[in-house]
Amino acid sequence: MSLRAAVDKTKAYLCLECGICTGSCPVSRHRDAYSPRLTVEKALLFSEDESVHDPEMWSCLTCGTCDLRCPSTVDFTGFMRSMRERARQVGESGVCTHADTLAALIDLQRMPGFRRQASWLGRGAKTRSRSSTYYFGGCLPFLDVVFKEIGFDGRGIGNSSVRLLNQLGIIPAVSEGEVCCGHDEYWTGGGDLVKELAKRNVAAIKKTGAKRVVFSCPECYHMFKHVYSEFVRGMGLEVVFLLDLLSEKMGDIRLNSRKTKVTYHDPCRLAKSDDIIEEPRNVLKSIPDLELAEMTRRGKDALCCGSSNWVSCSRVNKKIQVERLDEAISTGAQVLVTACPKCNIHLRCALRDEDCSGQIEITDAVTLVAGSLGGKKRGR
Amino acid sequence: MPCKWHPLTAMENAAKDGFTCDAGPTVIPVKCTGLVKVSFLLKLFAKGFDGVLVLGCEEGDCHYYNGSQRCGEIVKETQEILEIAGVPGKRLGFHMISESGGKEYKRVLGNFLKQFKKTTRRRKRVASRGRR
Ligand code: SF4
Ligand code: SF4
Repeated sequence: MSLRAAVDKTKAYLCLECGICTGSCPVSRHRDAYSPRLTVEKALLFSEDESVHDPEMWSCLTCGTCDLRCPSTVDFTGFMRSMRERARQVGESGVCTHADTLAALIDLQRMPGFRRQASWLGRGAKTRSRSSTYYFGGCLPFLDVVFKEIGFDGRGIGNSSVRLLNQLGIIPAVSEGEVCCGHDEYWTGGGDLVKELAKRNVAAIKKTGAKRVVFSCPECYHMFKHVYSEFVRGMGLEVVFLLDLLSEKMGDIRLNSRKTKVTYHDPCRLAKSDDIIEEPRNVLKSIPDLELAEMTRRGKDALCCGSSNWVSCSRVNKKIQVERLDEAISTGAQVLVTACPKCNIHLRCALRDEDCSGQIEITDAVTLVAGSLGGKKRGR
Repeated sequence: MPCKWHPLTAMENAAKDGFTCDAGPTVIPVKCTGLVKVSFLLKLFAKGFDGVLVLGCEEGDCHYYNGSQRCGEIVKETQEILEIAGVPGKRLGFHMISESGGKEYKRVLGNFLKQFKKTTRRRKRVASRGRR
């Protein structure tokens, strides 16, 4: 797509130059050189050449705060994606993080003979090869290995998710053919590869006879819900976020009490793009004796975890993360709960930053809930 | 994937003694095995290599202090990832070899290649530059 076409598609031509986007942007707050308003202006006024070689485009977190606040409803994140797509066509790319491990994982998952081992889910998680419900774990088992050193427990999230589904009487299917959902590739401007991954995933899931797919990662959920239809016609799968599903069924699960004060960090994809804001909180509140303290910025106003798509992790990103951690710590909570494995990883990493005002335990909502599983199931 | 310091010298010495390997491995020397990243190793498997053997200098011999020890950790991490992807972890080997370790090299390579004997060997491809 040319930049001109991207401007038309995302209605960037409606921009009023009001600067609300830049005022709302977590990156612009710490980095003068980056401004979404300026990015739109440059694309409208100058040549395409100038825009696609601008390194600042890789600073955007695609968090979507600007989209929500723009009075002209410019789809800035969509515009940014198209611009990156164009930039990649002319050989540009963002600076990868973690020595490119995460992109290499996609290559690995495309290798002939790749067979994802279901054993990663660990003990106590009951799965089948055929079922009407599918559990999509995405890159969790791999992230578990890569980020073990900062205490990230990806296997635990997968294990907890399946155990919670089991508690609801659901034994989900998993497949050897499941691959990365392609979220990061998509948001850094990828096209053909995302299409390939989408097709493989949908085919693998359909083979299990599943009609419904349950997710524990907001980004995978986002891809299936909003993006896959672009690549796979007539997907015919119902997509559900696990905490959303659980929030209606918490009455069926008996939980042990847990006297802790927690605060909840809204992942961008979940809150800003999919409106799942109260559901995770309701799930947390169903744990007896648990106290939920709110941060000032919550729901759609929540601050992004500061890093995304495994590109550009700089001092600026650390500052955003530390800002969010400080906000969480100031609530007096002992535990910072999130619902996205990546927020979990990024915030964990920033905990080691010397500017951070204190320490706080970080965990995923499903891990916390599954950790309280105890007594016998009520009913059914 | 030998380090260019001691292991590569050991390999050259072995070659001078007339050692050849039927499997015809692709040799990718590195400046220090401490520079090897998880992504390098994964990409080699993704490119169709059946196995990767990394050869580092012995502890204390590293020209850059602790490169081969660091590589040992990277290899362990990569093996765990490979296992999840359905590739036996031992397809990625790691050994420390001294400068005079020509014989040791022959033994290590022989042992490493044994595991592939039974599987039909695919044509090994030379690593070219990958997707970024
Ligand atoms: S908020 Fe919307 S209208 Fe205002 S400067 Fe940004 S893109 Fe333009
Ligand atoms: S998507 Fe987020 S990071 Fe990107 S310009 Fe908008 S507010 Fe800033």
